[in-house]
Amino acid sequence: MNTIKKILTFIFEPLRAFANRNIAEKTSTFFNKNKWMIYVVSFLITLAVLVITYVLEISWR
Amino acid sequence: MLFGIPIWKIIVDAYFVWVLVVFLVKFLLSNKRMLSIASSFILVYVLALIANYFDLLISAKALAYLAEWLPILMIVIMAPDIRRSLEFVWKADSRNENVVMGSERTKQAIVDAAMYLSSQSIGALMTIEKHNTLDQYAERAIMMNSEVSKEVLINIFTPNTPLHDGAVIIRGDSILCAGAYFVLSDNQNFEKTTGSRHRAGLGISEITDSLTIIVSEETGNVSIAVEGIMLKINDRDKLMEYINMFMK
Repeated sequence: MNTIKKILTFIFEPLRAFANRNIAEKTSTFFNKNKWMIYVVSFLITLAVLVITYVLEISWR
Repeated sequence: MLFGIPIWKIIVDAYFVWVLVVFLVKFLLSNKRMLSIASSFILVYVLALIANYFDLLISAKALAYLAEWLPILMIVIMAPDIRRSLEFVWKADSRNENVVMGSERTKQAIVDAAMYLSSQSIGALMTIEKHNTLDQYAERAIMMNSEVSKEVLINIFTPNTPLHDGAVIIRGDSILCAGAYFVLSDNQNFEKTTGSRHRAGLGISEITDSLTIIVSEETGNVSIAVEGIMLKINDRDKLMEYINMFMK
C-alpha cells in the first residue's frame, strides 16, 4: 500500500506543484502590466505558424 | 517568389494571421479563468499529440475524442465569460498605460465608509481595480467618475436609492461607477446560503486581480474577496492593512 502511495505521489506531485503555482494569474497580470508584450508574443506565434506552413509544409488538416 | 509562392501573398497571409493571433491572445488573457481553461486545452492537445506519435491505441482515441469535444464544452460552460471576453477584445482600454493605485486619503475613505456601513448593517460591495481592467462591467453600470469620499460611498449604498444595488468600482482615486453587476461565483466550498452580494464579490475576485470589500446587510460583517478567497475582517486596522498591501 505504501509503495503504491509513493508511486502515485511521485507521479502526481509534479503536476500538483505545477497547478499550485498560479501560472494563469501570473501570466494574466504580466500581460496586463506590459500590454505591448501581447503584440510581441502574437508576432512570435505568427512566425511559428508561417514556418510550420511554408517552410516545413505541414498541413493543418 | 518565396517557397514557390508570391511574396505579397505571404505578407498578406502573415498580416491576417497576426491579427487573428492578437485577438486570440487578448481573448485568452482577458480573465484568469479563460487562461486556466486554455492551458488545460493545450495540455490535452499535447497529450493527444504524444499519444498519436507513439501510437498508443486507447489513449490516442480517447484524447482525440476529448480534443474534438472540448471546444463545445468550453462554449457551454464558459458562455458568460466568453461573451464578456469577446466584448473586451474589441474595445480599447480606457485606462492610462500605468496603473495608479489610490492615495492614503482614498484608502482612509474606503475603510471609514466600510466601517460605517457595517455599523449600520447597510449592505455594500466595493471593488478596487488593479491591473485587470473592469471596463466591461463599468460600461453596464452608472458612470460616476467622482472622487472617493466616505460620504459619497455611504450615500451610494443607502437603501432604497437608485444606486444602492450592485457594486462600486474604484479606480485609483476615483469612483468609476456604481451599480455594477458581476458574474456570481459558483464555488462549492462556500455555504449554500452565501448571499448573492458575497458571491458577486467572490466571482469578480476569481477572474480578475481586483480586491472587493463586502459588507453584509444581514450581519454587518465586513469581508474582503481577493484571488478567489474570502476573508471575514471586522477589525478596522486589519482591513486597512489588507488595503495597504493591495494598493501599494
